[in-house]
Amino acid sequence: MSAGALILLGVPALAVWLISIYNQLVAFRNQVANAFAQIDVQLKRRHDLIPNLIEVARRYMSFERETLEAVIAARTKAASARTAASGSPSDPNAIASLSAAEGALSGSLGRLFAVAENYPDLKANEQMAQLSEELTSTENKVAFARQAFNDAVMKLNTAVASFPAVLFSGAFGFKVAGTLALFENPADREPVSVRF
Amino acid sequence: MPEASASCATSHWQARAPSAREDFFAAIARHRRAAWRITALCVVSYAVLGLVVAVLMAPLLYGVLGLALDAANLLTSTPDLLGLAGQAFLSPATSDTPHSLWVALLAALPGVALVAIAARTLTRAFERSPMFRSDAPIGRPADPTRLAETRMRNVIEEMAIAAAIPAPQVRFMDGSVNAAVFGSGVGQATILIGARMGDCLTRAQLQAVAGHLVSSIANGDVLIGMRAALALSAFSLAGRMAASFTNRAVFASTLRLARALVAPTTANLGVIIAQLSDPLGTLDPPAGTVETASERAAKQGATDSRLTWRQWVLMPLMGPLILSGLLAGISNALLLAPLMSVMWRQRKYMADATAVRLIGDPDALDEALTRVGGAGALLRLAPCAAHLCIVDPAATRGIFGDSFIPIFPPPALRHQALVRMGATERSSAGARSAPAWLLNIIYLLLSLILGPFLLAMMMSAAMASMATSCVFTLMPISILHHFLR
Repeated sequence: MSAGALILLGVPALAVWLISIYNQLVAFRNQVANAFAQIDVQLKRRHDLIPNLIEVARRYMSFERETLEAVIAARTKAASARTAASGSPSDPNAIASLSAAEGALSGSLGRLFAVAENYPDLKANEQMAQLSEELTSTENKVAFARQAFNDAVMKLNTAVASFPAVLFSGAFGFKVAGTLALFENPADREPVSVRF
Repeated sequence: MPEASASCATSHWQARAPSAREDFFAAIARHRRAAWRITALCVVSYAVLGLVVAVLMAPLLYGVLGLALDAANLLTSTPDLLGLAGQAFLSPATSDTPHSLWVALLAALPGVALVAIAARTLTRAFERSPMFRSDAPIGRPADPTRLAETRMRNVIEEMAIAAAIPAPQVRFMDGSVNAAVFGSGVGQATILIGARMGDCLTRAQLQAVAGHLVSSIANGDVLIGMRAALALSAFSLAGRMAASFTNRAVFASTLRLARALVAPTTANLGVIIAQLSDPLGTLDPPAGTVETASERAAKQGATDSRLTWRQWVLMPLMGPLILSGLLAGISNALLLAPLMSVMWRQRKYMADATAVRLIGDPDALDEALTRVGGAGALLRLAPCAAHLCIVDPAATRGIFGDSFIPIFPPPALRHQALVRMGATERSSAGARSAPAWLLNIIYLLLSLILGPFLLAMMMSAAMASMATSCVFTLMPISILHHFLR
């Protein structure tokens, strides 16, 4: 077989191979976006539930203004981090900011529920119980959806860093995405101090 | 917890070493392999039985077709099918004679076609049953004012996200403590929950129950369960044919079903659904259907064994129908229902293992199963759907009632399977059940004993059917053929 024939067969074959790799990278990036969209829906629902929760809690916890305001502030930060992340779910910095903001929100909510233990009337309130249940369920849904998101991110990252995609993925705008670590309060990551 | 009881509870418990604990992925794969092996065996059994029944029906079907051609011959010239068949069977064997296997297959063709049409109609009817329809489900939707129901609906949605399937419909049934899943596939599944479940289980336990139910959907148990129920119901109905000529109520019921199968109108599909839902139960016509005079008479004299003139007219059906029914009934009780039970048990274990994978808490599932079982596990369902519950609804006699192997795994075995995946061992879980290898040996021995017995039974039934067919089917057909040609 002559060199010309080899080139005639080889070049289209190479082009098809590269196109298939590119298409695979696009598919993985879309999977990440889709998985994040599932989380985004639940996070939005979580953020929407919090004002209702605060409204109910305010009726019974008028002396805990600081705790309630901390939750509202954390919710506002988390909502803006969510908006930024939903624009670019493959951006590791946006995802890291979202993780941190959601972690801070979880921490402030945890404090709110801890303080709420001192208010039996609030604990017995039916609306509060319903809202707590919805919040718990939404957080569980986010936690389960996060597994799918992280799986999709792992696939994308493996594909982007694998040879030969690593040679041209950067040029086409494919970057390594960041995994989510939602609802983890940064304080929980501190080493446990054991005293005897 | 008081100190004494706490020490009692902990004294029996020993943490399993990681090496001794079964990985739930391995457990799922093991149960899936076992379930598919048994499913394949069931499919082969049904195919063989269907073929045998079709062969038994062949003389009758060819006779009817031949007589129809004879009658048509009075108006225009038609081939003499019965004459040709008679010559083929009575002529001495030569090298040109087709192989007996081909003759048997050719003879079975109309029967196979009839069985296939009946199976299609039965499947259609079953799919339209309220139990398997997503657009007309039983039960009621969740009451948003009841926190327990909202919680149950929420945990099912959570588990659906975890299993990456669309959230199933959730319906509630008052006064029950059990849950079942049915439908026709992943996208059309419905979960029916006893409304008292939310009151007696914690959120973690509810999550475990939801994990089991959603796993059943994700693993395809919904469709397999429906097919198993359909196959068993169909064979139970076929088995009931054996009593058609000695019990008037059964005769009327069989006739009603045959009419519905021939003309599957909307009303007749209701008749089929009612009979399929409870093939071993009441023989009364379903509510809303008009009872004919013969059915009323049949009901009045249900225990009367004297034959009416209609039964005498239908006597040519006796050989094929009664013996097919007898064969189907015996095979159903001795072979198919036990096989299905073993298969279904594996699916239950697999759903348990998948639930543990989803929730990561075998203890919650173990406690939930114990509590539901302890509360009576009541859920008012048709017998054809009893096996779709999470815990055996003892009050409902399911279509697996004839099987000598119970359809649900014993609670102690289920507990042991969960303990292997890391659940806490309970001293109150009952006596340790026989190990799996011992059960396998018992099943093998039973198969070795029952297999030849069943084979002999099939051959005897085939011979008896031929003899009966000669007297009640072929003889009257030959006489009629003689007069018509």
